[in-house]
Amino acid sequence: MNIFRILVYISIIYFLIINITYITLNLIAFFSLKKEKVKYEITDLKKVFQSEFYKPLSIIVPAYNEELTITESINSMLSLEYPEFEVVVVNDGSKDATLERLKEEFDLVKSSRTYKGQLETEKIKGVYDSLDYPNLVVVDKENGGKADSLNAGINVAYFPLVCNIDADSLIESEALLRLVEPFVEDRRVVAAGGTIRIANDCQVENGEITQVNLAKSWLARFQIIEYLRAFLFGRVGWAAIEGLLIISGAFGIFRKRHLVSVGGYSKDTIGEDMELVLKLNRMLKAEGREYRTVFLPDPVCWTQVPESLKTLGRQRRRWQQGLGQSLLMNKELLFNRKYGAVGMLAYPFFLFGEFFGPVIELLGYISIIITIILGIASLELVLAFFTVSILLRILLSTISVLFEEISFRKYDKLKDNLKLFLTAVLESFGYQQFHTFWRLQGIYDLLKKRHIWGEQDRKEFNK
Amino acid sequence: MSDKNKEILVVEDDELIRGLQKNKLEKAGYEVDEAQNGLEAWNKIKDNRYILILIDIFLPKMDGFQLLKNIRSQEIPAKTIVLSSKSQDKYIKKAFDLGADSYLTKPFDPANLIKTVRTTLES
Amino acid sequence: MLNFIYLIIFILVLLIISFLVFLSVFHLKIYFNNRKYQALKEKWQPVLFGYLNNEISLNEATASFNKNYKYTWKFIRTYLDNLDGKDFEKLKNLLQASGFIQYYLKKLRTGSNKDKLKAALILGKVRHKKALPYLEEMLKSDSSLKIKTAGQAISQIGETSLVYEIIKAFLVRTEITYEGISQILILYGQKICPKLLLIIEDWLDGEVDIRKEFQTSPYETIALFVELLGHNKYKGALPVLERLLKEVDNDELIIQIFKALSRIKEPVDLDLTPFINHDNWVVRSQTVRYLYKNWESSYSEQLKARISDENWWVSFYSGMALYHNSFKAFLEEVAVSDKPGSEISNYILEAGGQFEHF
Repeated sequence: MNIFRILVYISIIYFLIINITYITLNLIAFFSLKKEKVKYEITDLKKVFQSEFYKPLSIIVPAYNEELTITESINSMLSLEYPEFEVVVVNDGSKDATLERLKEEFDLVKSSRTYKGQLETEKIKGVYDSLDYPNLVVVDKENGGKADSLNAGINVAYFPLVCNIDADSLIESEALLRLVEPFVEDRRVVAAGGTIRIANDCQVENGEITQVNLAKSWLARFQIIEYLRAFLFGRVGWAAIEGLLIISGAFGIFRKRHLVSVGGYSKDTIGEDMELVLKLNRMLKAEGREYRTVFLPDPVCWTQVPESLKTLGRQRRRWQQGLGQSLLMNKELLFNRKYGAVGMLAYPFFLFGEFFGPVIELLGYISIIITIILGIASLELVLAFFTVSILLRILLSTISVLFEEISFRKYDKLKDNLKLFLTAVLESFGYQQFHTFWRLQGIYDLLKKRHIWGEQDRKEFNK
Repeated sequence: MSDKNKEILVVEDDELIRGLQKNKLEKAGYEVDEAQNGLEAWNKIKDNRYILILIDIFLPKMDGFQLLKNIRSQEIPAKTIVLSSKSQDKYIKKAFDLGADSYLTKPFDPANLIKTVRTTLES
Repeated sequence: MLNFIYLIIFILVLLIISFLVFLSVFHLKIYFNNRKYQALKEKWQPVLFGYLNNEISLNEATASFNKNYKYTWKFIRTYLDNLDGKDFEKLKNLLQASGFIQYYLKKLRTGSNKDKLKAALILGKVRHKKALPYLEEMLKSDSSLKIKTAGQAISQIGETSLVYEIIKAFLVRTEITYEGISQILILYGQKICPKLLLIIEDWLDGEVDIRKEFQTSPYETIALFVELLGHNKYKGALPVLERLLKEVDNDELIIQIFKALSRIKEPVDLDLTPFINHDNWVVRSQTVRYLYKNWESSYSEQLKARISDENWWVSFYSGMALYHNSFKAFLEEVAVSDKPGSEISNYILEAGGQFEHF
């Protein structure tokens, strides 16, 4: 048995598992959404909004070098529909005029707010209140990265619920009401995540999306497919079987006291949002409490995605590294019965399928080509490979487009939906392969980094 | 574009409710103009002379409180009635502090609305 | 083997093509439904307005509304949410005469789960009493969503005899939070208050074991009731609230009671001294806040002492109470001294006692 043929067989099994898992998740998600739709139609948001029985919320916005968009972004956050909330902007040692813009626009003065610094962060240089907006607080600190900024925000935040939103994200005005709903409905809920959607080429006015349009660039369109498949339906599916591993760092709500208990966000990983949820799972399980993490497809956070190969590549490379770091920092979950579907299904899937997967993919592509060149590839083998790696993926992506149209209809022109459908077909002929390559780079980065860390450790030790 | 015949401006983002308010006020004998968000309302207020403005608080693009602030700072002589689903004291107080002449809560009785419009205009 | 693969490929391609077809068909269906709704909306608005203004009779109006109930609901919902008084009654009559209410009553009785939920929502909004028996049935289910929807509908209809059942269903068979329960019970309006007072008194008299009945802490449950009484500003609650203060020693409950008293704005027939000097700073601060909103001169000396309390809120509310009730001079004295309390006195004096958020 030729080694390359064996590798091809292995990769065929890999593709089969990955794609069937996602198809299953999408199907589970679809039926789960149908059930949720009833709830969605019945829920009287106005009632929540009108009542004085709500849970007040602190929105934390880490900002680094955002001078061009920060005021528009914060203005739009201040006008979100929610009975009581505060916006805590954390200026992470920006080198540009971010803080100055904030001071000008919002009439900032030194704050008299006191807070307990329960989480360790880089030095805080000052805290400011706004004279015009009593619910706005700005924290100025030394640069420490996103996780550090979030932790500083958590320290200063006043309310028991904390929501992290990226500075360049646009939140739909009702989104907070919907995202907090689970915390009111069910006292076991500890975390809720919303959906990220792609804002490229959408019409934006005053920090609000006024018209949803399909992104024009192909790269953005491929990402739309990806986001639908993995970040939307994938997550709804995982949540439905109680295996939700990630709540996006761009848009999630947590109980402040839990964040403090787990020590806030980790600075040791660039996948701090995923790592947080894993940590949370471990802590709550250890406490023996019943808890729920929820993913909501309706509250939407709109964000711009990279349209250049270089930037996108860098992003995905970083994400893969972050994924690896988060998984490695929470090894305890692997095949651990105690953690239910999270430990038995989700964690292994992400570790072997999503993290190590690109390696098998690469080996698969190389091997199939070599077997063809060597003339030892039967038609069956080639077709089987093609079927599971490409055709099955097209099925998966197109089913996501269909479900999107049925469940949410964010793109209401038929033309756009057909374009998306085409994108779903073309995704496997190029984009997917690039993506594999970037992820491989990420894996390499991670191994290199750990190696460097290892070296440093040894150096210290030898002193 | 300035239509001096319009007397009342209704600012409400729900199209169906806005239609009803307009209809009721017209039946009561007033000339009515409409706006679906705070910004549109403000632009119309600058161009026209209304005698009364009916404002909801939670509007897109510019909320009712901001609108009230603008009306007061530009010394627009129109009377204002706030019509909102928020019934807590702090909102009522804030509205009056910003110069509102009356405050009605939703759900509202259209007959009561007309009555309030009349008494506000007479005062 | 090869044929098997060809078969799989064929099936997959067929599926993909069928998705495309389905996508297009679905899209067109929605498009035509929207057009239909827009047309109906244009037709209905003038009829509705005409009817509400007594220009069109009930019979004439009914003719327009006697079918397409799903679209009717979409159209009429916002009017039901926003209107009150005579026009609301007229709307109800219209919906009754057009068969809309009967249609949904039937759905409530015999429809699928989805139908029942929607019907419960609708019948609650139109406050249709005949739905009550079926709603009561829904309360007994194990589904959180059913209990919540039924509870909401019953609250809107206002049937106070079911208050106890609703609370029990929420606490025993769902995981809903107290805020969630409050959001629904406030739909009753004031008429829920006598019922709540009865339950509290029964508990105080030992006739109701809340822990056993509701499987939850009695203090938290009573605190929920107290909050609702405060929300409704129900003056009739005073005797029971006083009794609770005298007989129950639970900090959280005491805090809620004073919050409620602050909103009800009635004097209490009770010596507040133990609360003004309570160990728990939240109790102290809510008590002095109550006195700020409901001044009683017999406590002025105690409040003067409380401006030097170690907790900021306690000193602040004490200061505010004094400032707004002819003791400004006292604050001015303290402000210039080096006694504790001078800082808070300064803070209040400089702001002229006006704070947007307190």
